[in-house]
Amino acid sequence: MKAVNFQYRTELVFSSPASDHKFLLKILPQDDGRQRIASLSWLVEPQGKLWRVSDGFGNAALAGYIDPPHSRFRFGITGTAEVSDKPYVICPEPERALLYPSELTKPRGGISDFYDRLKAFAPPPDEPLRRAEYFSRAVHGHMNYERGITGSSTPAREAFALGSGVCQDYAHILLALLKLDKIPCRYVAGLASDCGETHAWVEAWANGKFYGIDPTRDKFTDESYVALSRGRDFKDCSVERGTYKGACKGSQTITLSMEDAEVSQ
Amino acid sequence: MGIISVEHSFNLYWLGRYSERIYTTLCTFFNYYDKTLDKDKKCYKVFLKKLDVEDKYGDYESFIRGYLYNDGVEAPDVFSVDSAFGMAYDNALVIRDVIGSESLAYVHLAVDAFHYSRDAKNLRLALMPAIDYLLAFWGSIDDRLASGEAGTIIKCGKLIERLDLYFRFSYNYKQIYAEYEKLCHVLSHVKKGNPFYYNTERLSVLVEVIGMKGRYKERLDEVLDCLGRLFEEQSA
Amino acid sequence: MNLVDNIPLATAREINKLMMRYGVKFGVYKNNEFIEQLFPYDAIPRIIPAEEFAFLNKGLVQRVNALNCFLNDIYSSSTPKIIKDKVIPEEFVYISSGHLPECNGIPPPKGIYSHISGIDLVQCKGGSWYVLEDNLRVPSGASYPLIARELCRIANPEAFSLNDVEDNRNYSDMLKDVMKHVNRGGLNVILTPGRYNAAYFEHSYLAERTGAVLVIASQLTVDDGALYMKDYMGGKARVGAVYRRISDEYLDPMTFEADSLIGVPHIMDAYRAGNVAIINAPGNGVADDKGIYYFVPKMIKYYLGEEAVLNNAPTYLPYYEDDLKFTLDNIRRLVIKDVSEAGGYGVVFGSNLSEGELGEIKALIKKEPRRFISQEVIDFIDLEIMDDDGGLIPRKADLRAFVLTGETTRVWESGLTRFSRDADSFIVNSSQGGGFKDTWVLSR
Repeated sequence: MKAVNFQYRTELVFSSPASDHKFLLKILPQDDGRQRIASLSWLVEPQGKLWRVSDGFGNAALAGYIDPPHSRFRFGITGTAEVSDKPYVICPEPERALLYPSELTKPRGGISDFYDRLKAFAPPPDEPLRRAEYFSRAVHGHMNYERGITGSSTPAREAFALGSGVCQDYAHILLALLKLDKIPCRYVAGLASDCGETHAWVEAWANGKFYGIDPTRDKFTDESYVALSRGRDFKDCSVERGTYKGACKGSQTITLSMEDAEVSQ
Repeated sequence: MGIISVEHSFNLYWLGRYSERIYTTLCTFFNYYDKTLDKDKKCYKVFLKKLDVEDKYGDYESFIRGYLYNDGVEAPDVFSVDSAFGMAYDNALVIRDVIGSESLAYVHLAVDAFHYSRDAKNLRLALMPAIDYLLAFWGSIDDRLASGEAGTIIKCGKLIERLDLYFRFSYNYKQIYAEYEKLCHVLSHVKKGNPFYYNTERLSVLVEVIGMKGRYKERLDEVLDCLGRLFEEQSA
Repeated sequence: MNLVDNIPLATAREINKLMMRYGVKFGVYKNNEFIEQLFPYDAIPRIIPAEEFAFLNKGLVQRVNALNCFLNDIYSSSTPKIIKDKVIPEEFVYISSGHLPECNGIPPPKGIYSHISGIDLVQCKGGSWYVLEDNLRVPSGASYPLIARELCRIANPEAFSLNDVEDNRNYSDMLKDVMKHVNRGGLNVILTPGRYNAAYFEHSYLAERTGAVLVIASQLTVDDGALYMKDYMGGKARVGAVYRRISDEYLDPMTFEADSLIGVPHIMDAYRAGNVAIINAPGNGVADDKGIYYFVPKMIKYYLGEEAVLNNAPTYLPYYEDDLKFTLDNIRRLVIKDVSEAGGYGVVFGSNLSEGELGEIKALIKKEPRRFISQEVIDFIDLEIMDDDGGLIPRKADLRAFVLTGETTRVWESGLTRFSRDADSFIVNSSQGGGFKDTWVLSR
């Protein structure tokens, strides 16, 4: 068990003032057996109306709106999480739906051929965790980490064909492979140290537990990972959604700091 | 009667204005049409000038086709009858649930009758049914929406458009005064805080101009401007 | 009594004129331009005798009740009973694009998912009826026979004094009852994408007839988990039920398609909080999916313990070994449907395919058997329609029955009969130039 202080901020600058702005921020981490949120506060500016909601995946979020015109929109969280050194969340029976791909994680393009090639050398089927780890390593090997090539709605097959992308693309491709291999799995969005912005990884189910696997870094998740939300893919977990009038989205600045905290007794 | 959204309140107001525009400009148009029978083929230019519309038609025949049906014009002007019918229709169609299918039917009938008139030899006769349906539409609105909020908004639109056109076409003072009285009556039903509550400054200009009686032409531009902005928010 | 004699050509023309008067139109896009046109109406009604309708009624009520049970089962638990009991293989549920896990764990008001169900039926030449398709998302079309009846009674009153026809003009009352039954306190509204939607006439007409307020998304707003309508005075009124005429993917940009401009941001939160009823409930697409269709008779047996009254068109699932073999052996006379494609897409008739194409589709079915269903082609009956000179000509026709679920499940004693534009066509869609008839249910 380790305590981590985290502070995450995003600032959006609009090219012209936005009004009638409605938003949904999936930025509220919850206790899940691996992490315990000891303290949490959030910030949304300019001040608007806010209320707390949940979604169909068990995530918590902030919903709200800001009516008057504004050129900047800032939101973020600050808090302390106590994170277990074990990389899993206990779950005796995963949802069966998690065996089937979503639109972004369909094993199209070269992914199923890739899977067929990998399968021959995979660990035995009765060791799903080792298989998941093996597929994660393969994704890590295939992909080149590069920003600005893919976007938030890039499906797994496109990122796979490009061979480049960011953490969410790595996660989507791994999800596609795991689903081909009949391993229940889900997408996780969260915070991880040394990342500078929000991160994405995968949870694969084996023997009654969901294990956090990070294909971007080719490792199991550790005490520096704080989960914000879970879902089928990026779409279910996007940190910010918004609609507004009269503006174009301009620049976006994200800052994230995570550091070890004194463990409270 | 249900609750009225912002958009529907605009639709009601503009339905009032466009349906009135069709009616009064058609009636006035036929006055000029009548004059040209005897001699003055050029008097249509006066008609256009009063509407502040540039003469892009060239001659009398093209004016008639262009002004009524947008025939042969590249960019139809907003004062043409065809355009006004289009706008009235667009505004009416989206408020079926407010004005009711029976009233809306008269707009459909008027629009269809107008389009049928297009190929007729005698335009004046052929356009009569369209005018009849417009009057029936107004009768239906008066009958069904007489006292409600929706009726008040649509009448605001109608009377403002009518005064605007009467001023432009130099109607005699008595006729203008009668319409002004109707407008005051309608406005008296609108409570403060309602977006159709009059702007005090604008209304007082209107009152002053009305007070000038036949000399209203001296302040024509000013009074037209005030009518168009009668429902603007009060400056603090 | 010859009913057709009661509808002379002059009457048909009179009714069509009345249709114009009331703007009974639908919109189509041609070359990117929006055009409104009259929905071709044929004045000769389809007539369903009382005892035949009683049979349909029984089958339709049962079918819709079972489909509602199914939706409840799917969305209220992560391991639905019907899957656990192996009545429906789970992949058919979870690969369906209509399955929306965003709706998990939301009990809709009064437990109703499909309030307005449009069940498409055909009668084959032997007289028996088959269900071709269930429409549980946003089935449209009820307004057309509704207003056609109104106008026909004006144009041809004798037809109704000479025949005992069930009055169908109670549709708006039935709809109003449904809205009232599930309303969570507040206004009833009908949410339309706007006047450039093909069915805008229907949206506005049903709003008028039910007294609901017709709204577009920007007139609604969600605040602290409740839905409101903004009025022109700057106030807002609580909305208790939304009969939405936009599809799930556009309903809420905060939950579904983020770019949707016709949806209401956060409406799903108000729905999840139980503060508003959405008619029909989001997520229903999983139950009217082509793959799930095969299982509806099994659902009826499973949830209601009854035998299905109405038959499906004979359907085979290549997912099952025997059906795969049957499909491959008989592919020339079957119609193949790709369950992952929506609308009319992914439907091919074996008889229209070349040798090469047959080989291709067979290979595809073998490779991904669960992606396809195959069906016998049903030779459904022709109905007579009147041509421009008053002559009678045959056209293929189907029937969309409307089943409304509120306090109870009731079948509207009428329906939308659609017919094809061309003599040899089976396509009855209005977007393909097809027309419609009123449907008369005889009261004895």
